[in-house]
This record gives sequence, C-alpha cells and structure tokens, in this order.
Amino acid sequence: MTAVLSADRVNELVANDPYLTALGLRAEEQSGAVVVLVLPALERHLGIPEPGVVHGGVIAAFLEATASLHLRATAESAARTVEFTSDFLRPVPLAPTYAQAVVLRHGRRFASVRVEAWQADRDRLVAVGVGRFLVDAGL
Amino acid sequence: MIFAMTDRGHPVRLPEGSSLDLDMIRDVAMVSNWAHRTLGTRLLGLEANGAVLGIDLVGTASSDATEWPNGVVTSLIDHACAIAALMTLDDRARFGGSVGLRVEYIRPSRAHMPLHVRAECHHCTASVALVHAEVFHPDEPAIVVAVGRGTIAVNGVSIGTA
Repeated sequence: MTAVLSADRVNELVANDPYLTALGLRAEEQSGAVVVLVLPALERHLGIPEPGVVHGGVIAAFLEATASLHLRATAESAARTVEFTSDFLRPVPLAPTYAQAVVLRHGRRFASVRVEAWQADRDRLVAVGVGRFLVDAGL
Repeated sequence: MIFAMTDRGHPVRLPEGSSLDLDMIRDVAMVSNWAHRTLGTRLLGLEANGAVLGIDLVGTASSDATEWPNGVVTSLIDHACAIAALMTLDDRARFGGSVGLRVEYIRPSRAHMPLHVRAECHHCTASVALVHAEVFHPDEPAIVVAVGRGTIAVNGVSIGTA
C-alpha cells in the first residue's frame, strides 16, 4: 500500500544522502497538495558555461532521484534502480527545475515510474524519464 | 595548461588521424563542464571513436556509503558518451548536446574504489551519434558495474537529411 507523498519525508531522505544534498534537491508542496522536487539553479550544475545550460548528466540524475525518492517516501521500502532512460527534450537553462514522478505500476518486486521535468511553464517539459526499480523487501 | 594523465602516468594522447585539439578536449572533459569539474572527473584516454573518463573518489558520499551514488554513475556515462561522440565527429562545431541517455545498473559499485567509464561511438549519422558505455572499477576492468547508451545530437545538418 502506498501513502501520499510528503514533502517533509522526501526532504528527510535527501538530508540523509550527501550526493542529493550536494545537488541541492528539495521537495516542496505546490498548490493542490502536489509535491514536486526542485533542482536549484547552481553554477556547479552547468555543462558548458557559454550556452549556460545544465549538464545532461545532472538532469538525468535529477530525474532518477525524483523517481527513487517518490518510491522510498511513499512505499517506505528500498528502491534499487534496474534501468533508467532519460529524454532531454530541450536545453535546460540555469533556472529552478521541477520534477514530478508518477508510479505507473508498483508490483511486489518491481515498480515502474515516469518522471516529468519542467521550469517556469509546467506544460513545457524540458526532460522526461522512465525507470524500473527493484522494490523487493530482500534488497 | 590542463594536464591529463592516464592511470599509468602517461599523458593522454590524441589517436592517430584526429584533427581535434587535445587541449580543447581536456577543457571540455574536465574544466568547462562545471558539473564534472565539481566531481573531479579526469580524462584518462582517447581513441578514434571513444574516450575513457574516471573519478577517483566521490566527495559527496558519506564515509559509510558502500556504493557510488547513481547520479555520479549517470553523469559520468553521459559525459563520456559526449566525449566519445566528439572523437568520432572530429569537429567541435558539429558536437551537439545529449538528447537521450539510458543506464542499466548491472551490479553494485564499490564506493571506495575509483570509477571509470569507457565509451565508444558505434554509429554516427549526419544528425545523431549513438554511443555505448561501460562503467567499471580499474582494478576489475572486466567486471561491468553499469552500462549506458547515449544519443548525442550532431549539428550542422537540417532535420530529415540524415
């Protein structure tokens, strides 16, 4: 049984993860009780500074972390990534980036999660990801 | 001057026939990319269609971490795929950004061992470069920790002409 996603619970998980803390991730509740992950605009996320776009690896890490944190915060179980695919839809300028995960299926052993990322405009996606996670209790 | 050394202490060299500037590649791999400058990524080798990158230690892992953070593995794969595509293109101006990345985690990595990635561009058209990457620990190069597939945009040709 999965619970409603809590921003406090996600932030607690982030606080215990030095890499996610270094990325600056945080969860915040938006209107309609929707919890989203936020990747802040930090210069250390830049790929090549001239165009001023965020590195693709950082965006992919953000997408995967959003999916993993969603599973861990709602199901309170471990979530080991089996595979994760990221589509970079457009260059991501240095500005706050938001992501939200949707669990497509949560079975006894595997969960499939889709993640969407955007910046100022929720309808203008900058990247999407989909991954499969092992959620076995025996991890 | 940016300096890159292989694990055996030899300077990284351009493969025969490459017309790229070695300092430019070192800069793209280790300096201009702020995310990888922060991670401490090193350029360890170059081939006609490939590149080897590595990170010695993860500064953002807790002392009791047993594995490398997935985000570091992912980021290293993405970057190595881009450098491999650059080697194949042999032209900085045609080198675009990543448009897709897939990572499969094969087995747990070991947090306190250096992490290397070997990427090879296996197919390149006028619009995309397709790259395969393998992540491993240098002490156990045959044991693959993760594999990745990167898709890199190629500049300079209109859509539909690939």
